[in-house]
Amino acid sequence: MEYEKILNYERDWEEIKQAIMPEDMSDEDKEALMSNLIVYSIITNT
Amino acid sequence: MFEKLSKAEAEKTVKERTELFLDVVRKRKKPDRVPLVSNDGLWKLIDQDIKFSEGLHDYDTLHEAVCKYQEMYGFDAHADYCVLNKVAFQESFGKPRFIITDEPPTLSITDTFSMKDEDYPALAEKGIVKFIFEDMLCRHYEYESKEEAVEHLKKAVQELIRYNEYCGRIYGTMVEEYGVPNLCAGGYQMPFEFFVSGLRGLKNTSLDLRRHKEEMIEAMEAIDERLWGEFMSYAPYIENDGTFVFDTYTCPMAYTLLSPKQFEKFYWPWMKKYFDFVAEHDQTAFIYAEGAIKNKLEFLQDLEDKRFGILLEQDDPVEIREKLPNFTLMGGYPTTLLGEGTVEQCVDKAKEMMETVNYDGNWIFSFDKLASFEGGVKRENLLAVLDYLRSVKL
Repeated sequence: MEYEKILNYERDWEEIKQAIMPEDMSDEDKEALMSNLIVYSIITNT
Repeated sequence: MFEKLSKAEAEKTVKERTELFLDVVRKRKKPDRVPLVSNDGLWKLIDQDIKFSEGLHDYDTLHEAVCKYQEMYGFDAHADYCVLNKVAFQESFGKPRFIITDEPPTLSITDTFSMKDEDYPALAEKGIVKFIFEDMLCRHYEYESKEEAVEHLKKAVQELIRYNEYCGRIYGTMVEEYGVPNLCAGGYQMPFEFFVSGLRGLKNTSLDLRRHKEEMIEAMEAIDERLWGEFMSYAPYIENDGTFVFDTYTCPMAYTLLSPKQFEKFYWPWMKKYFDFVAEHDQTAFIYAEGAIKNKLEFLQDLEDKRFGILLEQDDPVEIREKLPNFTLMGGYPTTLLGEGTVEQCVDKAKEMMETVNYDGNWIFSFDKLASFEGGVKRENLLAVLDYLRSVKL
């Protein structure tokens, strides 16, 4: 399985962010939360 | 018992407690008494007969447990409000990394790391967020399609929001209802920590120090773009409103892998940058030094006085007080004694430390290792030690 080809930052980041974040959040907050979500998904000691 | 306070009492108490801490850290005057900080992780759940499997998934239970713990022991501040491990959040990705047992109560983490040897150039080029998004997320959680990834990310973001809400709520409750200041207003983590706590693990990180030296440095510079950038977004503007002790903190853990020579290359440049920032902005900082820091003391001995505190896990507090007079010592009281000793032995140890480490009033009481295990602390021992320390006027 070529897992590295499933997600592409330029193609998918914005679309996924808009799909999963609460609608009533500002775009700045969505971006910050999305970044934290991705980092914390792998890094446990933060 | 240390009951919940009225709003006015809590406002007054939190300021008094913060001033007490700052008297010590800033060495403004000898404090009225030794400030008391809890270095408890999950023992508070054990102390209250709360199963880990329940408490770590239910933020209302956690909130109540922290409040009851404060009501029982009356600490002046806490190192942790059960926020260290984002268990429910991690589980929402579909492949749990935490292993919880209730009998006996334990929380451990799986030793699985998905970054490969050959990934270093990608990490350095993409930066940590893009690298994890493109190269690590699907590989680590074995998502076979974008749709599968989105499905899990949707759940994970809801759990992250619940976690963030709990953090805000418990920090607020402690300040506004119990008059307990938070230990810090923010923090910075050295990029080397990322290798051990998510990317490569202990074994591979140790090997990489020999096999991928320069690639690790480049990767850390890429990781730090996010870490330092995030820190800079708020740290220069921190002003203590009397609701927290230290302005910021750092929690070095992976540094224990490094020899002093390696530390100088892989850790110290970022740590020094942080310390320089703290001094330049006339702020205070707290180092939660996991493991033993004994062979790295030379790096800390020239830091400015009256702004740094250090919590020790494995070092001798008497030796550290002697070798780091520029630091306020936090902790050093043996957790094992709280778990295994008698009340008399525990109080005697506190009396001894009043002589050996608090001779000039520059000590903040706490225990050395984070208490998170069954038998880690006996309630009667902790109560007796705290009662004794509260009774001593300096």
